[in-house]
Amino acid sequence: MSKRNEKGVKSSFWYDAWHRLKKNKSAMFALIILAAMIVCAIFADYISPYPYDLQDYSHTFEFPGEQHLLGTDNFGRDILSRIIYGSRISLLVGFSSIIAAIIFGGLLGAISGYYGGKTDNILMRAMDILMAIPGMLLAISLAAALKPGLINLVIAIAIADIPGYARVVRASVLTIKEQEYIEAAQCIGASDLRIILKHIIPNCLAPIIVQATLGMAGAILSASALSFLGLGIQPPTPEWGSMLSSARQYIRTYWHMTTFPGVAIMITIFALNVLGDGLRDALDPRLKN
Amino acid sequence: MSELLRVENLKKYFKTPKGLLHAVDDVSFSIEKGETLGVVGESGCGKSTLGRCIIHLLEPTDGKVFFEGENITNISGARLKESRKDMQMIFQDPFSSINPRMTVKSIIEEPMVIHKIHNGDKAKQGKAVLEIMETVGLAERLADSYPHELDGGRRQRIGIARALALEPKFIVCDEPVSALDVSIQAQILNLMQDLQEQRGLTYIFITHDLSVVKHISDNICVMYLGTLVEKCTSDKLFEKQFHPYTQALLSAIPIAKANIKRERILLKGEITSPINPAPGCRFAPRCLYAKTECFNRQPELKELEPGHFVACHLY
Repeated sequence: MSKRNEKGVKSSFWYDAWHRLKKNKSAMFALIILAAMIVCAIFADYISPYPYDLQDYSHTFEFPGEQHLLGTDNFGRDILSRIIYGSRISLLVGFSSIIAAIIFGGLLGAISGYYGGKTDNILMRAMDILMAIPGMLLAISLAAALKPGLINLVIAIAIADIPGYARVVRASVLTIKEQEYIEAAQCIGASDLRIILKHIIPNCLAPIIVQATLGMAGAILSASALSFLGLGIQPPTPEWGSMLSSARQYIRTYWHMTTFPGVAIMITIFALNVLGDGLRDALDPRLKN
Repeated sequence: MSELLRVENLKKYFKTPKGLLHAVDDVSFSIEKGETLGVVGESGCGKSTLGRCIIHLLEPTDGKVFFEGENITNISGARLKESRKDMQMIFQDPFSSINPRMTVKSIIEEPMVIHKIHNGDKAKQGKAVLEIMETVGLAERLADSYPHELDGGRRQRIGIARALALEPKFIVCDEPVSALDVSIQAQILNLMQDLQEQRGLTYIFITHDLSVVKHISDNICVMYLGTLVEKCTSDKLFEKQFHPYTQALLSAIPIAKANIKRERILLKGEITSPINPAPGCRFAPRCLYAKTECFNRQPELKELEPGHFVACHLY
């Protein structure tokens, strides 16, 4: 028996992947940052020093100081508190739109690649139509059509992202489908669903995860951009993009108002990208050491 | 001895932009229980397609396949799944024929899980996996390894173990040793022969390696461009060949003696295209003895000596 089994630990594909991820320091660092952000988002009510919408007109445009760690904005609201509350929206939109896009896009791509022929043609032409519209424009028009709001923001971003995932998954399914182990699986009587879920998807996970982490960063940016344009989250709810948008006019005199939300976006996206890289390595057993 | 598998007039055509590709054209044979049928021929002669048609990985265009007297050509759904228990396949490439994301144990276990052999009894199943691993000569400690950690020979043993997991009666071996080193080839071939003896397995052994086929087969079918050109017992075929193609093929086997003089029959020209083939014998354009008749009419299999069938107009 292997070492793992002597310890009595259950060994599985995901367990091994986690084991490998733990060894990757930068990925673990990114994971800790993201986990901290998620904790902040969940416990925002307890962590943030002020309510996000508390306006204090005697303390507008204050630079970072003891009272307000990251300063205050044009209404005298505490920027730190607004960033903490804003992470709720950004992370929620990022995660949920990407998960929705992966599920729908991935499934469409897998079906299209696996069955080929007419199914493939119909699905991929539909994806081409979606792709022909610039992603941002599609999200803007969807957000405008669906009325601004959190769920509609998620839907708009997810739909704009679906074709990308469908294509990535389809491309890797096409290569994997030709491998003999798919034939071998048919030969032992595995159903199509089992073949797609157990043999094809795990083998095309790496490109999906890379696409997903980059995509999540993109989705957070899209959400920020839509909010910036006034189509996303409505004030006074704080959102990083809309904070940037409203601070934009004061950028020359009050640098802290744009810098901190921007840094928050940057750290999140950076952490996601590093984690994505780490996951890609961890999920590939051929790189096991 | 009783007949296990019979193939009647099996055809498989592929539609290509240039026309119909005749991969397997009108092939018939039968296999007795416990015997090994070698199928030889050069690359692209349709031998793998033939194996895949029998095992239901490809739908034959025409013809019938009988297994234990039952016509299994067009079965599907639950009946097909049931027949998977009887017929299995060992694949050529030990590197692409096993899923790199699964451990050795889960690869061998999968057929049992799909067919619910042990009704979800994990302990029994685990024991069965270890038993099969022992049978094919895989050490128990490898159960949790991933395929990329193992060499070609061990990986091919995994492929064999997977095929054996359902305890089939019949196995299609699609060039199971051609991707392996010569020393490992011998090990795998011996393993397969041992398994055949222990379990009464029946093999179709597809290969282009004549020394391998001589070693393992009882009967041999020689294929050329989708057609069967000669069929005979292994011993006889290596003594006497009738078809000009078989003669050329066998004259290409190297002999491990330096001073033996022998005539090699060198075939001229390229293998002709299997797309929309001309009428007549497929081998005629390269044949040393081709007559006009050979270009007009396709020869049928004739029994020249008891049990020795040849498709050639020369006889």
